[in-house]
Amino acid sequence: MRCKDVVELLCDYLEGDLTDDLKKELEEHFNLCKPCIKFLRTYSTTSKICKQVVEENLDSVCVDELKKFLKDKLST
Amino acid sequence: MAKQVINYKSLNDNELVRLVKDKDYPAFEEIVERYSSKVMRLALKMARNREDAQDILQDTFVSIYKNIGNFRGESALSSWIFRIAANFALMKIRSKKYDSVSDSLDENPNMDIQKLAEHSHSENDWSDQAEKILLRKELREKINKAIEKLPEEFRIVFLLKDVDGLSNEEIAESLNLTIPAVKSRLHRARLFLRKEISKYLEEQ
Repeated sequence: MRCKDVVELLCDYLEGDLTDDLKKELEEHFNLCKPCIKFLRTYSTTSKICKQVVEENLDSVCVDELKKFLKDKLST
Repeated sequence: MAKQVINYKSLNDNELVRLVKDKDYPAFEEIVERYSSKVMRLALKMARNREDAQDILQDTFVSIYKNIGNFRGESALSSWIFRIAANFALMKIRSKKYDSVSDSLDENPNMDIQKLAEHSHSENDWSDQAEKILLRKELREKINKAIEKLPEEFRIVFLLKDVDGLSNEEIAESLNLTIPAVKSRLHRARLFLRKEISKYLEEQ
């Protein structure tokens, strides 16, 4: 398995969607290839970091204004 | 007999949905209270301006009220709401692009999988520094900008999956995509964001 093939499989690997044979082959590659292990780790951490960053941007919505708009709109 | 006072805050989403289906308007307002900020977050990340995000927010909740009868409870209420919001967001963006010809996704140079997949021995492993990274305001801004730089077809899949937690099946159904297409867009979005974070950290 080449490093390029490893990257292609990361999403399926993390979701547990690979066949047992492919998963084994991939993990054997990880045991031998440090850059690919680093890539796997940073790839998986990317989702976690981005989720946290987006979640902290919880913009305050003026709920009362929205409720008023909806009440007017939905009562007509 | 005195009318029973309902404490809407104490009800779970399914109980609220049941009441809204029976035309209980305060139950709908409780759903608005629970989800409006999260819908606004998705809308802002997609529209990238407050005015359009506000339209998406309003359209989403009008649609929820009108279509609650179609919600069968097979997925979480939150997923259903995000799916509606995602479609309004895409419609809004596309309505503004009617006069431009957008690149095919596969031809978008920023999302070229070969380039996004490049990695070398010299690249740093920053995966164990997530907490430290998140303390850096500049990097958080960089990440926000990077997400906004994603083409919308990738951005919406990334936000629905990695931020709002929808399943691939739910995303595929709501965006009218195949599951392999959802995975491919998600994968490329993550690769793009990973590269942007790596690039920033290497420059420091």
